[in-house]
Amino acid sequence: MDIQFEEFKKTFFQECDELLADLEHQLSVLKIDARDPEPLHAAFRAVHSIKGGAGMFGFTRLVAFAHDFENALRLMRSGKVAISEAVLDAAIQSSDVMSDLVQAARNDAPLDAAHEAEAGERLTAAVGTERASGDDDDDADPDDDVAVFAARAAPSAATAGAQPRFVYAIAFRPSRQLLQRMNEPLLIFRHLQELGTLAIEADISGLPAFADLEPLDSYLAWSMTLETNAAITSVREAFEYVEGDCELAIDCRADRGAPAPAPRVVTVTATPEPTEVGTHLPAAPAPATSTIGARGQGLSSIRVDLDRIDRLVNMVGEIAVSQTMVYQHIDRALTVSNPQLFTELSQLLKLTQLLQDSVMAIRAQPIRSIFARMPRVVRDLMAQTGKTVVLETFGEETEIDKTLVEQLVDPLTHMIRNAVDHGIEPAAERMARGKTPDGLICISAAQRGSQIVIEVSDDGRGIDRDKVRRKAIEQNLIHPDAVLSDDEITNLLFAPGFSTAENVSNISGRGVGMDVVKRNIQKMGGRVSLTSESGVGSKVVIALPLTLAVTDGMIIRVGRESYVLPIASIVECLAVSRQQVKVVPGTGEVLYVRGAPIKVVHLAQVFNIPSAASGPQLLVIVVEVDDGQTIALAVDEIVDQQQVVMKSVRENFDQVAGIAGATILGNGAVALFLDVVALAHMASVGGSRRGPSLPLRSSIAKQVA
Amino acid sequence: MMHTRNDSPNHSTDTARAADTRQYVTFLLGEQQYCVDIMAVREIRASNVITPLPSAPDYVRGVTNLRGTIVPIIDLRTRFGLGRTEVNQGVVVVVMIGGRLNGLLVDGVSDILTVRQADISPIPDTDGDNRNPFFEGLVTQNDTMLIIVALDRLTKSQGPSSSSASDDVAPLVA
Repeated sequence: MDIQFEEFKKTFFQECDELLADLEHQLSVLKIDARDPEPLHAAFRAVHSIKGGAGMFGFTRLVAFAHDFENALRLMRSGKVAISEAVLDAAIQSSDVMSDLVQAARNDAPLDAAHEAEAGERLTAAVGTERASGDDDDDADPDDDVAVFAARAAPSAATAGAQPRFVYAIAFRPSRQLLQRMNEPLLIFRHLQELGTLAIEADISGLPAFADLEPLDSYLAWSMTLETNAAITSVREAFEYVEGDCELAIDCRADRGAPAPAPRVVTVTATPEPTEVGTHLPAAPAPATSTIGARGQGLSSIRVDLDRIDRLVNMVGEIAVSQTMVYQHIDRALTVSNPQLFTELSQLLKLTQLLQDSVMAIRAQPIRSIFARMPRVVRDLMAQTGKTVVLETFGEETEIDKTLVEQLVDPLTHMIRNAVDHGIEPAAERMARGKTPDGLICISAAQRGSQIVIEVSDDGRGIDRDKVRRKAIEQNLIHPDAVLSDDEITNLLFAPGFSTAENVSNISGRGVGMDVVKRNIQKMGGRVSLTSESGVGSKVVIALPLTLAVTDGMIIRVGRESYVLPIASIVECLAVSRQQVKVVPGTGEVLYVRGAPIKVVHLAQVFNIPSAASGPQLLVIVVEVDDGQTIALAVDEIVDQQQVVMKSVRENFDQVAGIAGATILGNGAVALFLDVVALAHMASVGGSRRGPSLPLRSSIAKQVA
Repeated sequence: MMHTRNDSPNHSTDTARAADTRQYVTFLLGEQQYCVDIMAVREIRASNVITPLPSAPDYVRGVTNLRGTIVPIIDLRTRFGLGRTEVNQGVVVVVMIGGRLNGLLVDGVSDILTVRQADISPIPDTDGDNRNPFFEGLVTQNDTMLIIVALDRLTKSQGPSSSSASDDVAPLVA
């Protein structure tokens, strides 16, 4: 039982995460004086659900706070409280506090006793102000709680003016396990009671002899008659949590027709909270329940361990490879002489492709969940900087691997911070330049081929290249005489350690630089680049793989062996004359690329395999290693570029130096995946036999990523 | 289990007999028959393309694709210090050693053998220097002598002292 309870609790917190994310999203799309009530409804539902669950587990603080929050939201959506800036701010703050409370409950961590007090007071105050200044549509304007209470006490009185429209006969027979699954029929009855006049009759025929009674089982059944204005969907909603755990029949016995006045108007103020139907809209028919219906049907989902999905993705990948092999081995002549076989094979090929796509889609999630957090970030920044910024988002429906979604939040937040803090000018300066006083930041996402491209652009002052250059020279990142293109200078911002220190503010320059953004993106197998035009704005472009399970790889050959390099780490491929490679005595070989020395690593030497390349030309691939430095890998041939599934070698063998993993090529053979960071290190170690190795000079000048 | 054995002598004989016999998969390297514990064997397959691993010991021929899993291939002939096996004609016995899958490259698999524990004789200590650390014991079946391979020692960094192994393989004494 305890274990089961813990499971429930775990599920509750998982749900809380989703509900809190939804809450934040709903609040962020909520506009001042909004007409669309849906975000408020959704926010209300989220808070309500958290409150319900928290009550079950006895998180009283969370319940208390959620209750107040819920009340405030109730007032907002009933239109009694205008949605003002202050109200919205307070609501957003409250959602943060609620998230803190959930965390505290989850970790059983002590939280400052007054933690929620401020947000609560602020919310109450904001709501109170708005309410006072708001329209006085309710004459008596009783305290909302009182109104609710009154409605509960005398639901029939509230609707006394008119005959309830519907009469339902409800037969409800719970399964034996209903109680053990933490469902409580009493709550359902109360819910129904709020809808109208309820007559209940218990059927005790299922009761066993006292000696045979299992205290945790449920034996009773009930038949009920409900007179209400609520539609059948609302009635059914009361049984939402027990559906599938009971026998339930709801019959509409009578429909007395829609009472006047014009009922259709009501849909606009539709509220799934039935108590208010009675108080505010006497004699009105049931609120439209489209939102409830959507919730019931649209969100049917199950939780699955990522591990299981990964296994599935892996296996489907293998099926695709095996099938390609089969296809290759089947004699062409055979398919020509047997057209039926050809058709069937094509069919199989297509099905496998579909299967692969479907499996990949399991992991995919709309990028909306990250984009939705950004308005919030911008709001906070606006408050801190005093600048006004309009945020536009495009392509929110673009789908991206779930694990990537989580890792994208920080880089994106950071870039928005940069854009607001450094990019967007103060209003006066913008006016002077003939721009609109409000700055504009666009974030967009789109799928291009096998990549997801995310762009963050602003119409600010752009990057001051002279200053960047000056700083880079000061910080010894580039040589004072280095000749760099505009793009190269712009991308110096990604160099490790680069900081325009005089610019440090509370918002940016807190130790997390663009180099960290770049590293995070690279860790995801993606690339990032920056373009900027002085006075017009900047744009950061992030290109990410569709999924983590597949990496873009470049297949290279050394001697008779094929290796795979992650495309994300490749800066450029060059064919250079062997004379360009200089031997630095006692250290190793160095290649000068546009004036900067790069260490040359011969794969054949490091791996001790015979290389076939001789000729006057040397083929090198300049790759970036983890710390922003580059090395040049000498290879024999660049074979192909393809998507590969990375596999572990260590699962069955020891760590191999210079090898990050392996992948299975289309022909079924294994190709090793190179670990460029380790290769750089191995080459340094190799050189140290003869003396101190050449420090891998930072050569960011070439990172025209 | 202990007291059952004490209480019922009949049962004890059965248990003893079951525990006493083991099954082995036998295979060939040249003319010599070897065998490994059948409980460790996962599958037997024709050898396919092997990708060499850089800086691996010489007896590790590389890795191969076993339905999506990367499995290292150990050339038993090299491991025993007897030369190199021709990959194209070889058979791979996939075995589980200490939680890891390994492929043993051999010339061919011949049989499954049930052997009583009592029939296993130790490797005769003819010449201390030449004793092969990978051999666990000897079994004679119809005038043929089979060598039982000690699987758990195959992947450890040690080599037969008679082998002309490369310096990747640490000497046995170490």
